[in-house]
Amino acid sequence: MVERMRYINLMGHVGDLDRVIEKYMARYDIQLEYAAKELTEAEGLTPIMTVNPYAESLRKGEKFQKMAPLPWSGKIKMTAEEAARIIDEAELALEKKDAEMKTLEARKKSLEEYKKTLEPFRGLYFDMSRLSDFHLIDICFGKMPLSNFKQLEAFLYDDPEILFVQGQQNKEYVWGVYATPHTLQEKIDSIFASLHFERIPVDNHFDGETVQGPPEKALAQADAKIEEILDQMNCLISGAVDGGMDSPKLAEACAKAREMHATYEARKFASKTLKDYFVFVGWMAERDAIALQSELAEDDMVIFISDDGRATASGAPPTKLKNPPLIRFFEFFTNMYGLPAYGEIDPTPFLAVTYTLLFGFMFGDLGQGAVIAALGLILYRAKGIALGAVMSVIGVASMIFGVLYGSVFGFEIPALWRRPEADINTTLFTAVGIGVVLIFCAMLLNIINAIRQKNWPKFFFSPNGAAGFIFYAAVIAIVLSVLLNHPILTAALAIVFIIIPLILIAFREPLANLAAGRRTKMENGIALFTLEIIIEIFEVLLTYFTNTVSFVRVGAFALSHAGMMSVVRLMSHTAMDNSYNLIAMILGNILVIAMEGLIVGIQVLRLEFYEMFSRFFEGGGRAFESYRSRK
Amino acid sequence: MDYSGINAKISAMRGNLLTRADYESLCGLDSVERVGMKLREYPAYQKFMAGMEGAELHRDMIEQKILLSLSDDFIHIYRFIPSFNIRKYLYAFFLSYEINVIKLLLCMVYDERDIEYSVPELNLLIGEELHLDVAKLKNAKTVAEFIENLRGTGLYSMLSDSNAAEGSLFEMETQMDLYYYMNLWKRQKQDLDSDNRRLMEKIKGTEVDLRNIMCVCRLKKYYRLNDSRIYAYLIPANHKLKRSQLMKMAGCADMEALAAEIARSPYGAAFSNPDSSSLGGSNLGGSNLGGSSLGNLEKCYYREMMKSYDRAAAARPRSLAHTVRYVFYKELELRNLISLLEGVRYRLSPREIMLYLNLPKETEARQWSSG
Repeated sequence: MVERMRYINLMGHVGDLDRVIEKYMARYDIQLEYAAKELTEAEGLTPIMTVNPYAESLRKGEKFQKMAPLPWSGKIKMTAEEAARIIDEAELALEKKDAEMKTLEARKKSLEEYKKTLEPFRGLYFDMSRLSDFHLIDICFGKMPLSNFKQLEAFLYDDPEILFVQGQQNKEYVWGVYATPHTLQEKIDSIFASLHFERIPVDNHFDGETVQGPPEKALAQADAKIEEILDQMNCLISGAVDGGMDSPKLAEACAKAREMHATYEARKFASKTLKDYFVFVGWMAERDAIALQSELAEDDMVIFISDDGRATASGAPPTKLKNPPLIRFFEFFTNMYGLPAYGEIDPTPFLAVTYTLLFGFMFGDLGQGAVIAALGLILYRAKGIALGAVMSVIGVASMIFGVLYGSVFGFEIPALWRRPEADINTTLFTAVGIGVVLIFCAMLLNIINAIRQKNWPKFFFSPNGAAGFIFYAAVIAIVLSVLLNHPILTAALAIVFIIIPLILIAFREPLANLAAGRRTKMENGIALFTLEIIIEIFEVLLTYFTNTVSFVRVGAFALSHAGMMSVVRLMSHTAMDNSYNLIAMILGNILVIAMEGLIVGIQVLRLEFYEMFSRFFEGGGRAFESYRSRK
Repeated sequence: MDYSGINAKISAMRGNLLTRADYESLCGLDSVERVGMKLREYPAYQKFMAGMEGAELHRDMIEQKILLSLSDDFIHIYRFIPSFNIRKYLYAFFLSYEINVIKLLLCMVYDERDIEYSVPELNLLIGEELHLDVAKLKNAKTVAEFIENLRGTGLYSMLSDSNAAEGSLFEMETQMDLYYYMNLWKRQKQDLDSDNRRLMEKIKGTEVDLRNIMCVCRLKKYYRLNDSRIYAYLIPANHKLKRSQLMKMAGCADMEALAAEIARSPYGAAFSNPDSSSLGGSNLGGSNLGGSSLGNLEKCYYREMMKSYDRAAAARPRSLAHTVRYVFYKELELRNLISLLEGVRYRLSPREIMLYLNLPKETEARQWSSG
């Protein structure tokens, strides 16, 4: 059902604005429109500009959300002040931790630096603590470009005065260490300088510790330290949100802040009149509007006016669907096609019933239906996927048809009604029969829509209006009388019922113009106009025919399901002891459920959208959006 | 790989090299501007000097513009090489000319002159393989900035250090040469088939040997370097010259001992001085080793390299020999033109100028042995 809407005006003194928002509006779903845009005829309207008092709390709350998810789905009980206080406390606690965090970061960084300098010397074995003990020898660590190292290798390796120990190397540099006696230091240093040897200071002190032993050991110790620091950091992060505070409370506070922030965003929509009155305009569901009106009746500070809002600047009222629980799940499909315009029939109940029925008819199996229903229920419960709920409903339908067909996981049990494969023709004709009924229903819905919209040309002349209905009924009657060999209509009458509606449909445009008192322009001459009409009539006839025949698939899938299951049975059957292989049976069933379940689900949706929706449903509504849920 | 296509292309390009007669007529001109005007008539230079008039035709400008011709030739050669590996090697081979351009640019930055090349010209001079943003290079105002713009190339790691250390131009140029030869040796091993490898090892090995000897001579003569620091300027590769021989040369106490040591090496003949008489007593810049029995170093070097390239081209026509020889002769031509411009500028007589040029035998008449 499309819910009835009221166009509301809410007025009061500006000083009273926050009270009205908090006391009344925060509890109702209202789609607010910008008052300044709506009330085009009023003069002296100015927007109300103030800072949202909950902006700060929201910002902090969102910062917490980023650090750790704080989901809140329950009802919010705490007051706004309480929420603000909790958030502020959490912020303070976090700031304290932040300082500690920064020290840890700095320590980690310096350790990583240290590792980076020492890493190229990993392979060298010497006691780092004893480097400074030498009195007669100088030791230099550093790196040089690879090609300069090649020079060293070629010319200087045999020099007894030079001792160079190579560490690691990469594509550009060679790391290493050279040692010189004090007496030759100047000379050797200048040789290495000319080879572009770049000194790197290496020591055994880091993070307040002194290492004894080879670089290998120092690196390992630095690694351990970094690990330790990372642990501490993790502790801090988790502690800031979990341990340090009551996280469900914080989550609730954040949710409250978000809600209050959204509520105060309502001010953006209000306008101020010359005499310091504020005005809200917007749409409300009729039920809500009545409830709010009765509540406001006792408050003489506020003026509340509601009407059907036919003459508003924002156009047609927004659409809010309201359906009973089981049917509501199918709104998913309706939204896929398009939201009904306000005043149009909500196709969801029709879709829910026909979808369920057709799916059951095409995929009738007690066992497999149960699997689909269970799977859908799990999906819906665990993940909240709307399609899951739809699956459970159609799964139940499949189970019911399974009983009617006598089929459990492909095994045959006594059928309550009939097996689809028993008489193929009957199955197919039944399917087409269902189709005919559904097409009639769709046309009826279209006629009702036309009446509601007071669109008389559509009511009378549309291929899906009264003319189409009569034409289609007459054709069906003739077909039936041929099939049953029993005349239902006299031939003359039948022809009248066929020819006249067809002419009406063909000339629907000129006729509509005539009714509205307009002249029909024939811009392209009479010949082209006639051609156009002939082609159009041909297309209309073809559509009736194809749409009807299209329903054969409903029967065909029922048959193919039976066929596929018989193949599964055949393949898992062991001739020797006349038993069934359990694994083959399960795999076969999974395949059929996955493949056919999907195909049938899509085919039914196709039938709904193409054969039925296209006959009566226009869509093009705009969704009702409560300002509270807006981002 | 089939070399008939590239060799035909090379023969055609050789037709555009200057002949002895061309050089002689250029020597006879009385101003740099007129040399520039005359150069515009040769097809190889026409393209790059066409727009220049009068005052623009000064020495610096002409020297810079004629370099473009070599890069342009190289691009034409490059397109005629179907083998991907040989292309890679040729690029490494040609890198020395690109490095020369970078050295030139670096000099300009050093002297705080503006780089005169336009961006498209720089793109031609410095090929795509170096992945350089030449526009940034052109806009660099300080040496540090210039080097920073070389980031991402193999040159960067070599220069960033030397700059940090002392940063003399000579130092940086040595580092770049070192990079060139190290890279070339690597490519030589990786990308060439055995025939071409042997050929190039011979040619480039000779080049390294000669350059190392020249380097030792200069370091000793002008920098009076006598200890192990010399090694930082030598290229760690060799061909005929044994490492021990080179180390002995580096260890010589004076120029006399060095000259004796060179005479004992496989390159003794190359550095002996057959045409010193023809040069007379004229002091050629700084290349002459004064009182020693060594000839003009540059001239010896080019003579020996010409021999090396010619021998290779004769022995292995179906190889890269003709191609690399052409590139070498083109480079030689550019050097000759630069000397010639200098000679004209300082008003030397045509006969004197001709003595400074290194002319291949073939330029005497257009009689190229073709493979």
